[in-house]
Amino acid sequence: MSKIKDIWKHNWIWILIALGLLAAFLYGNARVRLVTPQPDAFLKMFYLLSALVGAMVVLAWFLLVKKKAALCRVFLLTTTVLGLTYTLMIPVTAVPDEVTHLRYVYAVADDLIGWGSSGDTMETMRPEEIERWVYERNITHEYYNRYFSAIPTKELGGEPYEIYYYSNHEVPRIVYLPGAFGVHLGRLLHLSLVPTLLLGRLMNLLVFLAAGYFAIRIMPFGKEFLLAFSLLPMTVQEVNSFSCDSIVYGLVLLAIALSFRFAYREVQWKKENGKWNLLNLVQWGLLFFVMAMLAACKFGACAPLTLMLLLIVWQKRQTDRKSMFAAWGIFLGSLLLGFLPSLYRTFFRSTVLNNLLVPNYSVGDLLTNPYRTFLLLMNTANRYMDHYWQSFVGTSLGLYEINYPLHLGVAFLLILFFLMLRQKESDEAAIGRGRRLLLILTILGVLIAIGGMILGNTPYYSKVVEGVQGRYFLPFLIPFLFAVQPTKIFADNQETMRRGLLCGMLALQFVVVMCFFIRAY
Amino acid sequence: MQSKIEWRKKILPLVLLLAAAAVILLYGRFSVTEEYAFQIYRASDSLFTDQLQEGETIETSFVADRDMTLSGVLLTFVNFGVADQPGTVLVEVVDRTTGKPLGSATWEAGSIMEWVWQEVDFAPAAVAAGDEIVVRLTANGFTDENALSAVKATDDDHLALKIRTDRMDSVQKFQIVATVLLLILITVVYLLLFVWNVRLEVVFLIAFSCMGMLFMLLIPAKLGADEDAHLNTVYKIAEQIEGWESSDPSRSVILHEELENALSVNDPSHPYYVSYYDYLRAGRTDESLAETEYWGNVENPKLTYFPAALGIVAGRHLGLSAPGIILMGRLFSFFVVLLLLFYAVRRIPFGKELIFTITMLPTMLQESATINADGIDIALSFALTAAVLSRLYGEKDKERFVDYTILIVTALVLSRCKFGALLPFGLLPLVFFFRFLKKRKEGLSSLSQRERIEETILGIGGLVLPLICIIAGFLPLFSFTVNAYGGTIWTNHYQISDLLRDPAGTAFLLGSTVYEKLDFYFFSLGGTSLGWMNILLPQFLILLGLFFVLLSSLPEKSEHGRMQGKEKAWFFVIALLTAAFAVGGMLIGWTEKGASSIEGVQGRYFLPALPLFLLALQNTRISIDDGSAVRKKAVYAAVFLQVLVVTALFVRMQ
Repeated sequence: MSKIKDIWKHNWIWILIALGLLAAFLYGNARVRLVTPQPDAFLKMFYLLSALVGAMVVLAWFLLVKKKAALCRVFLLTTTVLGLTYTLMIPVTAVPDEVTHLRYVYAVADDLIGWGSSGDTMETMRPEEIERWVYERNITHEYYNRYFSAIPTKELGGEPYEIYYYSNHEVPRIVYLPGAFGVHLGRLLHLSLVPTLLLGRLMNLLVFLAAGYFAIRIMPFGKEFLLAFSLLPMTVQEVNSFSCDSIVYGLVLLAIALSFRFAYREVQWKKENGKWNLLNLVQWGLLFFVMAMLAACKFGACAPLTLMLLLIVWQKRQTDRKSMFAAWGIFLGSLLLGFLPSLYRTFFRSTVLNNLLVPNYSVGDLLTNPYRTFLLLMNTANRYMDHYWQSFVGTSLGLYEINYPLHLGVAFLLILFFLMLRQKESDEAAIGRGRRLLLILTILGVLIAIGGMILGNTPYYSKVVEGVQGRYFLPFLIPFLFAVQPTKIFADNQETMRRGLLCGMLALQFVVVMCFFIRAY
Repeated sequence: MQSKIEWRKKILPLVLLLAAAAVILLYGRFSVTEEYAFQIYRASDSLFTDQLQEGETIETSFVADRDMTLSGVLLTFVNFGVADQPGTVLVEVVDRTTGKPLGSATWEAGSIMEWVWQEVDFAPAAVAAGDEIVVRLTANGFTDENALSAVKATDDDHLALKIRTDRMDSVQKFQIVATVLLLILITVVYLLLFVWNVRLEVVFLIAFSCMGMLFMLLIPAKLGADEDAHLNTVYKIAEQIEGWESSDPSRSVILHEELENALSVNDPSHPYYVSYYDYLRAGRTDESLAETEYWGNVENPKLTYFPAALGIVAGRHLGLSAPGIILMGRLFSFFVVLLLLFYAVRRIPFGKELIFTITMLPTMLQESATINADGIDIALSFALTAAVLSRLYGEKDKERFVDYTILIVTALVLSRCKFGALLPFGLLPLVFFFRFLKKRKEGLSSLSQRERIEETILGIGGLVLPLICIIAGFLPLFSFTVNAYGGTIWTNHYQISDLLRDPAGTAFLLGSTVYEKLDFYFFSLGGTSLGWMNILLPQFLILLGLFFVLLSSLPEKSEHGRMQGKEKAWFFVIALLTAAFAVGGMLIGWTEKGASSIEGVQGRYFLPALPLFLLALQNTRISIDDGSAVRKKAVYAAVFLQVLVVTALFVRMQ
């Protein structure tokens, strides 16, 4: 009896959470059985994924809380399992703009397979690659049945033919390479459309896994923020899609981890024997590549993240001039090679039109009528702020049709707040003045995302800024968390609490997966 | 020099905050002014039912609902398929009643875009109420055959009038008053909190009074949640105060006819607010009395409605109009809520800021500022919480009599409130009994004789008072709720035996309630849907408000341990029981059999237990440095949030 009492005393919170998850599963099961009295692919997938995610939550809890395992390993486990689950539950093309990105992926895949097309504006596809049902928006129980049943199928055959394609300026083509490789592989294996596309998504996931693992491993402190970022439903959705976000998010994690490492840890340029430290040089090279890519991606919307290089400049200005100059060089280089060409394309060559094909606001409109600009921004805040926070956490996944209850979204936000709390004497206190810089780059990121959508997607007569989604702000989440870390609220045992909170996020993810099934009536 | 720097440190943030508030309030002002230039007549008022064809004319008309100065007409089109056409569309606006042409314009067909306001401006012209205004469209030079069906007017089409606002209407005037009031409020509260370090209860008194008055005017009469139902009870008590006798006292109630017939609206828009404020200022025009049905609502003891009834009587004798009378009822009721909450903030030994920030939530302000049992119930529960904590942990020699009086009266009243759903508060005093047992076990000899007597009386009282609450208050109500009230609403409502017979079904019902309704509970706890769920506020404001509540509940490290473990556990149990009673009560009394989830529960039902819940959650893992300063900032943020809330309320009037 005393043993049970002892177990309860030390683990009551985990026991309650486990009971909660069991209740969520039982309720999910009851709801799913209502629509599938007879076993079908949907029901089987429910049991399979419930078991998979449930086992992952238990194992991750064991690793996080009991074994105090390295967070990068936990990341591998959680992201793989959640990635596979989301890939199956959020059908291909359901992610925002995924169809558009898929077209670019096909174009790159065409190049890989060597299918020539008759010009820049055409691309080649297999007949089944334009199957209409896959692109349906009505994702119900019946749709899932058809979708899951289509996974283990081979291609139908038939001659490939050309269709119209328009080129994209949003990101460099290299970003689509992993997805294209997956599609290429699917074609080589003569798989049908659904498994081919799932392969493409998995390749993107693999790149994110590699980037995230490496980033968490080298991050000097605040590793939990990186893991928490990867556990948000919106992140999991995006990294398991053909969207360019899948690669961009990996780059963001790398950029943050490398910048923090160089800023807050000693940089070993030379080994003890006097030779150049090659690993260090490779990391600097990687940082340059990552920053230049980020500056070039998404019409320059991620460019403010290059400001993190100034953290290195500030921290190393007196102790390590090599690092300081290297950071300056990378900063200027990434702006020159990545941001400026992107800016040039946006302002001088872009043919972007909004959905209504009418002119957008111009910079002149905004400057010459500040009163109207003021109303435009305030109206947007008033009307769309709810949409932003919801689509930031991901309460509306897919094209807003795959929902889970908002209170789960609030719980994710609450966990992020508690995750920010630190011990008084923790490493994170070292950021000091860097917090201002991180805050500035976050604000810049938000302004560029909104400003870009005013110029690129808002018809000139609109009273609100159109097209902004909360996920546009996700790349700035981690700098923001560091920037606004409370300086007067503290956690007593930071590491234990943070690991517990991460387990809380995983438990929430289990409930979210239940909701995916419940909503598909 | 040092004091100068200190002063600058204190005043500079105030200047910045005032600037931010001014920007937000100006937005509300601009928004109202600009938008009000358009009064939109929707399809039901005017619809182009025909399609525009080459050489033909189609027209629509509307009747002006009041005297106005027209300076233009705006139209939007959906599915207007002439964008590729070379022709033109002639638009004419004519006052058919007087035969006077008001204005005309010729649009290039190719320039007409979907969903874009197309304007016809003309010289301002007076239009009398009742005049019929005609808008005609004539197609010229449409060459393509398809153009014959070019205009596909749908139910979504809009026609708007550009009305020149020669003078400010009541909404705009009220907005100016509200703006000035809010700017003064955030200045005064800042100075009181951070410069003059005035006691929190004084700041509360000022902030809550101001916001309560504003909410009284922002939520139109009868539009508070369930206000109509509560007013019915209030009218009955007012009738008894007046000495009027209805033909069947148990079934009918006498009131001014105006009160019954006026002021019903589903969607309070800008024009409604204009007429409401104008009506409010007018004196009574109709003295006739009418008899109407009395529903015999027993949700709360009549005592809790008495202040509102007194207000209604006062309003009648002052000759006020219908909204004026209801406003007087609200004012009297609000005054009692204010006093109870003032006591709570003043006497609670810790968690003052928590009570303050909760009272700044829009739901709480609405419930306090309208005629509603919830406002009084929440105030009573906060007062009881404060009295219990004060006797447990506060300065024991101070205001003993007031504490005990409040403790006994509020516990007895609360056990009869909301069909007995607040009975758990009647059990709160049991904590004294538990403490007495503990002290007795440890030995009372260390206490002085006076302390011993007080502990004994408190201990026994702590046992007797809950028993009285259960026997005299709760049981009769419970039996009534289960046997009679539920039956009058649904003939086929759940009964306890149904729930026990089918535990799996009950569990499924609870699961569905969590899945489907928890969002609503959470956001309506803060107030996203005010009025009859028709005055909506953005969710992010509520998230901010609740975040400030959370911040204000955090303790300093040195403050840990002030609440004993078992006492904390009891508070937690009371909070959970309150939530369970609210949900369970609605399950038995309000949910029809076969419903997919529990009906009728709203987030505000959980407000009474919120302070107890958050105080019980305090633990050693999270603490703040310089707690009082951080919590003060949370309080100020909650007050500042009202700038956003009030602005959002004005903007939504459009």
